[in-house]
This record gives sequence, C-alpha cells and structure tokens, in this order.
Amino acid sequence: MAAPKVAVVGAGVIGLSTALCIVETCPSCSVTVLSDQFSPNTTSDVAAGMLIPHTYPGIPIHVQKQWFKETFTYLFAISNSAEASEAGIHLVSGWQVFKSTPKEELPFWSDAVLGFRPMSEAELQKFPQYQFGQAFTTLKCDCPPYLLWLEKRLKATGVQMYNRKVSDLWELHSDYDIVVNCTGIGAHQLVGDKKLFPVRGQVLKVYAPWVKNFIRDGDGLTYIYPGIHRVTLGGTREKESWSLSPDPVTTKDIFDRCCSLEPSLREAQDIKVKVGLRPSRQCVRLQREVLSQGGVKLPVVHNYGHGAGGFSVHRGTAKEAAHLLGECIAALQGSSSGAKL
Amino acid sequence: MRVAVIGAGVIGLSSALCIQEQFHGLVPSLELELYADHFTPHTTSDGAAGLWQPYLSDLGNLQETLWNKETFDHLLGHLHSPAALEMGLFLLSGYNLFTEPVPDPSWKNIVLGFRNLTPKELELFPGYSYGWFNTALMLEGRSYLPWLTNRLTQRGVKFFHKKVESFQELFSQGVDVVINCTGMRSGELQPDPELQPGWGQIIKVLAPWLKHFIITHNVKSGIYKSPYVIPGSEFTVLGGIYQHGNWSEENSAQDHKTIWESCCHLLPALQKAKIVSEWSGLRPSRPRVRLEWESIRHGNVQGEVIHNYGHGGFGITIHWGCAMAAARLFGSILQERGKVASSPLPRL
Repeated sequence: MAAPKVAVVGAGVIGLSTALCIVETCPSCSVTVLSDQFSPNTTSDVAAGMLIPHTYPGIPIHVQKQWFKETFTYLFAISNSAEASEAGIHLVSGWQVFKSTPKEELPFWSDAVLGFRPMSEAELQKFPQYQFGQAFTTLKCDCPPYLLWLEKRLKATGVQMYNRKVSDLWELHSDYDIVVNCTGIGAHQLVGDKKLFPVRGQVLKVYAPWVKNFIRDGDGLTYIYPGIHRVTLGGTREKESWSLSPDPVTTKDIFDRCCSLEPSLREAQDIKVKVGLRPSRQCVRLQREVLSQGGVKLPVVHNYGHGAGGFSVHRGTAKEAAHLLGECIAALQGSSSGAKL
Repeated sequence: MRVAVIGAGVIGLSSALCIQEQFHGLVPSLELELYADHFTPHTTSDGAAGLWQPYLSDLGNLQETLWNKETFDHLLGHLHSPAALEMGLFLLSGYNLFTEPVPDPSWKNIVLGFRNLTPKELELFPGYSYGWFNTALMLEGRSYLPWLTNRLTQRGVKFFHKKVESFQELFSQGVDVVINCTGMRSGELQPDPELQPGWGQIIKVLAPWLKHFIITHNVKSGIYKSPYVIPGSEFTVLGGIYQHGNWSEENSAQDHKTIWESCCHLLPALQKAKIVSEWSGLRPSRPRVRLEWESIRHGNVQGEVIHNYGHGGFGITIHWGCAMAAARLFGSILQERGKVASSPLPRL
C-alpha cells in the first residue's frame, strides 16, 4: 500500500498526540484529523494537564507505569528546550496531602516523577488538617498551548485538519483506509461503547499568579494546579453526569475547599468556571478492530477511555496506537498481496 | 522622646515598625519620624527579587544566621494571614546548582523540605553536577515596602522626604535617638571603609511558565556572579552580576549581555521571554552587618545612634531579625536613660 490514508477522529490531547506519533512512525501515511471540536473547546482544554497518573483498575500496573514514563520523558525533554513556553510544558513542584495515612504510601509512579519524598513535619504544618503528605516535582501541560503546539507540528508535516462531526465510522471508509478513533467521551455514541461513562468535572480557572506550587488532596477531589497564566482549582467527580453546564453551588464549594488548603486564594481574580466530562472506563480501549459491512472492511484503531489520566499517559498510548496502526497497515498489505495459506 | 529613622528601604521601614509596635504603649511621649531621600519604588530594596536566601556560608557568623531564621519564621507565620498577598509574601520552591559537591548551608533547616538534587533533576541543568532543592519564601519589595509604609502611617509615624546630611543635624533639632538604616550611603554620615558597594544588575522579563527559582553558583568566583532566575508574582528577575567596589549608577550593556546569555543558556525557554525592564543597584556590602548602638557627642550636642546597615545582598532575608535586634538596642537605651518608669521593659 503506497500511502495509507489514515483518518484520526478527535482533536483532544489523545487525537493530536496519536496523529503525531503516526506521522513520526509512518512517514508514508497520509494523516487527516477530523473533529467536531478543536482547542479551546475540547475536554482536554478543561483539564489542568498535570502529570499525576490515574490508576486504571483493568490495566496491569507495569503497563500504566510504562505509559507514564514514556509520556514524562517526552515532555521532560520539551520542558527543557526553547519550545517549552510555546508548547505550554513546565515543571511544577508541590504537595499531595492526606487526612489519614494512605494504605499505599508509595504510588507506582513515585520514581517516575522528580524528587518524590514524604513531606517533613515542618512542611505539614502548613496543612493543619492533614496527617501525611508527599512532595514531588512533576510536569504540567497547559491547554490550549499544548494542543495548539501539537496542531502546529502536525500542520508542518502536511497533516490536514477538518472541523467535521463524524456520526458513523463508515462515513469514512471511502476516503480512508484506516480510522483511528480518539473520540474520548464521543465514543459512547460513535461506537456505542456502554463501558464508557462520563465522570463530570467542574473546575475554576483563576488569576492568582503568586501561587507557584501545586497542592492536591490525596482523595483527588480538591486540588490547586498553577498553570502559565491561571491556576486550576478543582474539582468534582460526578459519575454518569452528562451536564456541561457550570453549577454555581459547586463553584462555591470548590472555591471554599481550595481556600482552606491555600488561604491566599481568597484574593484570586477573574474566576472562570469550566466543565469537562472525563471519558472513563475500567481500562483505556487501546485495540484494533476490523469493522465489516457488506463485504467491505474498515480497520479501526481505538484509543479512548483515558478518564482522569489522559495527559499522564497520552504519549505512551499514542505510541501504542501508532504501533497498532502499523499492524493494520501490515495486515492490509498482506491481504492486498494475496493471503498466505 | 523623638526617634528618627534614616532610610526607607526594607531595613529602615521594618526597624521603624518594630520600634513603634514594641514601645508605643510603654513610652507615652514616643514620636517616631522617618527621613529618606528615596522612597519605594526607588530604593535598593525595590530592585531585589525578594527571595529569602542567605549566602552559602555564614562565615561562622551565627548571629546573622539567627537573624535570618527569625525573619523566615516571622514571615512563615504570616503566610496564611489575610495580609500575605498585600505584603507580597508567598512560597516559592527551587534549585541551587553547583559544579561540585559543597557542604550544606547554614540555612538548610530553616527553609522547608531541603534536600539534594537527584541525578534526573540534574539532567535539567547540563554543566551542573550537584545541587539542592528547597521551598523558601518570596517577599516582593514593591508590595512589602508600601505595606510597611501603610502600617507606619496608620500608627502615626511621620515621613519626611529629605536627605539628612549628618547625625548632628537631627540631634540639634531635638531628636534623641537616630536609627541609621542608610544602606549603601551610610559612609556619608560616618565613614566606614568596611562598607563597599556590591554592584548588581538585573533584567526583568515576562516568563509566567517559570514556577521555580534557579540559582547557580560558581564557588570560585563568589556570590551572585553566576546566573540566577527568580520568578515573582508578575515578572521574573534574571541576574548574576556582583562587582565589588563598583559605584556605577548606570546599567551596563556588557552586563546585560552576560545576564541574558548566561540565563538563556541555563534555561533555553527564556529566549522567548519578553524583556520588560532593566535595573542596577548597589548592594551595601560589609564583612558583617553593622548593628550596634553608638553614643555620639559633638560639642554640646549628644545623641544615641543605632546603626543597622551593611546587609549586602541579603537585606530582605535578614531584615526582621535585625529590626528586632534594633528594637532591643532601643530598649537598652531607654533603660539607660530611665525613660521607662513604672512598667518593666518588654522581654528583649
């Protein structure tokens, strides 16, 4: 197959990073990105983009660790380069605090981030309601900058991007040889995945430039993540809620919880409220499938269902998706040259 | 009793505040005045980035280490107060980088979370093979000095925009005690060969993605002669110049180039940072801080002077400990003069 035509559906962090990996590993591929939303209107744009992994119950830990390490290494190199500010990647240090000592004192990713260690007594004094804590340095991917940077790199390699709603993967079979499905929560409708469910997250993005460290409650519900221009205050985890409308009672609750962790936030300015639906699943759906309809075949690579951990593993899953794409191409080439019996 | 503070940098304002807070109730006739020819934002303190960090070695000067600690603890105590933001006070973490292993600093247990850097962290800084990470405090002069000024004004301290030419000038007007916080120009009031300028220049840029201070060290060259990057609440300060004995009052194009190139080499992303302004100033350097009480007599005129100057590049770092010490010296003066009649002196 001369130049496989690949359609990547979805332009959030997963779609764009997967498209980039495909371009890197398969230079002969002609890649097009199709999405009904682009930055700043994707789910990724709502997220803070912190590299703190979410644990997927259905995936072996060593795989999750590998994905995280690959992502961290990739972003670490960008953060250290002249492109860091344009790409929106920066280091940030801070604390994860627990009201009671967690069962697992060392998360699986503790050696993948920088300088991970338990907090000292003196540090814990800043958090009177908390008994235990961990200090470390990690990376943050600010959106829109990171997504815009990915878009720019894709366009530089000739990738076309179209604003288009794909309602059925079969719409694409005449123009494309392979489809890569990075539709996040959209997969619920697009491929009818009932194992995929939204976990609604509301956040506040505030102007508080004196906040330079992150603070996160170990329960994952309350967090303060300083970005380039704004600090993300969170959050909520509402399973099965599809509502994209900000809720004012929730806004006040998030603000109060964050102010009790960091009192100076009372002076935060220009509070913007955002909502995103985490595309959650027991495990990320990272597999290839061949759809079949009336004798026509359409190879599909699925890469969705990253839930709360999209940024943390995006590069790792993108590389695996690109690898699966390679397998699809090989399979197509195998069948076009005549099946071996 | 009339007390005149000369100098409106961080040392003068904080000394005035300490004395006012501790003695206004005890000395009914206490009148506090502050004289300066430069006020914020035109003082040396306003040019400083505002990072709390002493020099690498205290040279055995335990007294200064204690004053540094007192300052840090005092500021840490204010961190969660509603005034923190107005004071320009916030936590900042960051890196100190070396080309070879060095002994731990005197302040390792004063700051929060002090530790050595891991090999992976050092990968961020090619050319540096050893370093520290810790969380310290920022106290931005352009917020802190106005905050101190407001507190003083509220407490009835009078400000005079005036250059004082001599201690005698004030004594002959009826001032009883002078607090000499004149920093670099103390030599004009009383010659002090130990006080020398430590000329420095900084470039202020917009680099909001930077969330850590990064201070490199060249142990052979000396303090501040190696690039440093300190992110503030709005701007990031780039620096790395220290010239002993240089009295220049102008920015140097050569030093601009040195700072810019060395900081961009350290952090390539800075190449994209927008330059906002440039500033140079004279660190009032001295082998040790001069903090002592001197009785001065000139003919018929006599008065007490408390000297509080020579804080080099660590004025903000040490200011509160010194202000408290100056207040204690003031208490000693009161005791000597029998000014505090009935009530016991506060614990000094």
